Amino acid sequence: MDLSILTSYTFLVVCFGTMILASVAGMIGAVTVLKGQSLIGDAIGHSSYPGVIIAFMIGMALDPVLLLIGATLSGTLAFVLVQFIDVNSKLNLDAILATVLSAFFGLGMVLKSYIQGHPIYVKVPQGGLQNYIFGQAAFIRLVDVQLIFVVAIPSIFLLILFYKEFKLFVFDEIYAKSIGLSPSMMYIIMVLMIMGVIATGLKFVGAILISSFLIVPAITAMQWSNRFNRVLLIAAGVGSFSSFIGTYLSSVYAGMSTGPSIILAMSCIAFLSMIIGPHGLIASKIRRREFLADN
Amino acid sequence: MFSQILLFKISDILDYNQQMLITLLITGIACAILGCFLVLRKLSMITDALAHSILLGIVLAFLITKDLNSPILFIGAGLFGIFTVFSIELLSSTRLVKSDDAVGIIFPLFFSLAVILISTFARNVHLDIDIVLMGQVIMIPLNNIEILGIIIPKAMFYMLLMLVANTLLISIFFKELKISTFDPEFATIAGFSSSLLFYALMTLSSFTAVSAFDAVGAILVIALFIGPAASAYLLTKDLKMMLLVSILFSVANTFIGFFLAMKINVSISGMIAAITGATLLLTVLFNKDGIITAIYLRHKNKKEFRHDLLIMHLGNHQTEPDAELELGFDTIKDHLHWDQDAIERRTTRLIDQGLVFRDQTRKIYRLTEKGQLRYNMIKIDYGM
Amino acid sequence: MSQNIIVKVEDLTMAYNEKPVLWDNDVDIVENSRTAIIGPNGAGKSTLVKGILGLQKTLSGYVEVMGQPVKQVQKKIAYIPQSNSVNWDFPTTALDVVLMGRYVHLGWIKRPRKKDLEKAEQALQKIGMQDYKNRQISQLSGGQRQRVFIARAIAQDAEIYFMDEPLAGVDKNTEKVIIDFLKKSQSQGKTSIVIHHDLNTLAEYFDHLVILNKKIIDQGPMQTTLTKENLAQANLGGWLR
Repeated sequence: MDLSILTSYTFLVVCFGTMILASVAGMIGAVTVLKGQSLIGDAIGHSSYPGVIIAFMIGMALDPVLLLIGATLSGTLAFVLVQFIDVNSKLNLDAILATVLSAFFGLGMVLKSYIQGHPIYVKVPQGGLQNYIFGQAAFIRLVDVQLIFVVAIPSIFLLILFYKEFKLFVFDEIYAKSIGLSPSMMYIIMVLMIMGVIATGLKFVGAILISSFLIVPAITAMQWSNRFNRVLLIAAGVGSFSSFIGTYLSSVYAGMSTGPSIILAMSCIAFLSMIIGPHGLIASKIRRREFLADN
Repeated sequence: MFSQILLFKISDILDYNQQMLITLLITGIACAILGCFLVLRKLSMITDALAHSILLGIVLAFLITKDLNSPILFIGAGLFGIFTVFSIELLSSTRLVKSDDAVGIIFPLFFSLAVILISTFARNVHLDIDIVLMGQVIMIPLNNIEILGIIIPKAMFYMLLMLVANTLLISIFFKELKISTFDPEFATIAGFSSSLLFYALMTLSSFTAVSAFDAVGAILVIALFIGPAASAYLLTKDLKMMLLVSILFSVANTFIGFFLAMKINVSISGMIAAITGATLLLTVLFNKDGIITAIYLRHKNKKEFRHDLLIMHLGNHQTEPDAELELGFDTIKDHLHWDQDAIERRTTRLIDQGLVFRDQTRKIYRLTEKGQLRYNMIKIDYGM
Repeated sequence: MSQNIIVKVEDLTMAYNEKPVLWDNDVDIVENSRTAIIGPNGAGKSTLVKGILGLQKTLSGYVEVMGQPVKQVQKKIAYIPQSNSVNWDFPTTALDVVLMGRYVHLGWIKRPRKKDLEKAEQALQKIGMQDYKNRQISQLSGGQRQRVFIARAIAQDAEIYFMDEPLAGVDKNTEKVIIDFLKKSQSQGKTSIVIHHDLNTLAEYFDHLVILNKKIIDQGPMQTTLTKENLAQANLGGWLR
């Protein structure tokens, strides 16, 4: 065990960033998972990739803010497209998601290969672009962490502010509408928050795996509590704890990318919760045995 | 040697580009026909999970065989794909999570493990994550194997094999696949085990994905499976047609994507995936029941419907005591809740058609005899 | 009993995918009544209620509740949707669901206070569910869930209750609790409008009736409206014992 790393500046910056990111993502993810929209994050994550490349092509540099805007725009475009096709065709949502995510990511690959061979862009260092696919802690700068703050704090603020409205919207949309709460308004706020998490998280976790920051802590939390507020808190806790473990592992062992390491930690906690949690496999086995013994 | 005399090279009859294109076409068709069943069974996101997680299968098999060209790699990764599907099914069968969420947990985990294994144990090997996602279409003709005296690009051979296997499964078990896709419970009662067919489909999907993976990468695999089938679903009314149309879409997407990518010198598989998305969008917009038609019809219906409604309103109220209020020149708008403009426009139209007249003595709109007949027809038309 | 009209529907036409579901309907709901809406499947019963509440777009006509547009009196209306519209996996307790009935009075952003919590507890007590207040909603039976939704309506302090088939799939005991609640509310001056599907209990549970089959067949007091002719006209003739 190398504990000296815990006090190194780079580690602290990255660790702090991922912990904030994952706790925000956990809470927002709980809303989306309960709303039955868990795979939307996957589609938006993949679809933000071409926006990153276009932002690079426009800015001719790896400017984190510009890339963030690019990612947000193309992710939002993908979301709008998914909704548009969903409303206007008989296709199933999952077929739409699969096609849109691969088409957008494909477009990203096309653009990336274009700038690789293009004389104008060859001079600009592009090494960092790779990190937006898988995330790389080694390339995290202070500004990336600051961006997380800028986006995460308003997201959390929105969630706390509209906590009661979110609860009603997720639980009983029709009743919500009958007392004057507009579901489309809530959808817009929800997507804005998802976009914020994904766009700021890309550099840490990457386009392909960012969706699990939304899904996995939320599912873990649902194994432990029947209360919405506790689910939100547990999801945030699971997210940030996994981030600490994951960032530590990736700092100590060369080659362990930050994103995958965090997800590994998250998944372990999730499976453990499914086994030992109060609704988990062991608990239900015991209940079944008691039931059989009683009868 | 004997085999050397009969040695036959694919490269003798096809040039470099043709070998790539034909391999891509075969891959597309093999994926599209399975994709039809995946789309109909609402399993599209399973392909997403498969495409990402078989990487772990490939890595694990590679760590055992230490040889990227070993057939064991192919079999190991294929089996691992089935294991992925099985894990998702198992997880959602515990009822602790929904099946979408199960997909969302399993594939990031497997993919993360694969990424970590590659970067820690297989660093110096030719197993680049970029290639995993985007494939290396350009390398297809360089990687040849010899089968029964024929020298053939490895990817082309494996995809041909999968095309034959998929076509066989679908043509032999067409009836069974059809019924278990349409009504799984009925199929099970009728003696066709739905889960057996499900795993047969998944086995072929997994092996097809593994074979395609090497050549075109994970992302294009998803596009090839789902895109053409989704487009075909919008255009056709029966399963056989859907299979045919999906093949046509796949061929068209591949052709357009391939030549476009060659022309501007960009990623071939990325371009085909993007084109696949574009053709789906166009199909959504322009098919017979698509958005453009729907907007036109909606507008037309709305207009006609409003006219019918006005006739109904007149017919219902003109014999009643409150007719002066309900149908009065100035008051009818409050009852239908339309603005005066709309009332003028619609009544004028109906007066022109000879269905309605202005009763100047009572200051109300009324139906003519022809209008009365129309009123009775509308009642029958709308089932009243 | 007063004969004021509390819900007035004028020439209401509603369509689903541009196919008319409700045609040019006038409905008058009498204040302080227990009104049932009946009609065959596809008659547009739920659509009518959603149209009145402004949950679905109307093509023509207008609705007045207590002499005002419905948006103005939202607080005074409690709606109990069909139970399949609810997300049962949601992690929340019975008490919490009842507390949601107070949201309409709180408006955006504001949190429930102690007073709201007390109202919610009382509402649960009235419907005999106080022992279940900390149960997760998914662990309740169909009847218990329906009672929780009734309690939510009570907590809302509404004047008018709209219920979409509240007795579908509930046990006899719950059915009695719900009907007792409707009768008691009536004695407190409230009005209920209930979509009902059982002709055999109709006259016993309700005092006013709206018969609907895309168009209003007839409406009015139970004794004069529940006739063989009317039912036959609504294609409900075969249902009567």
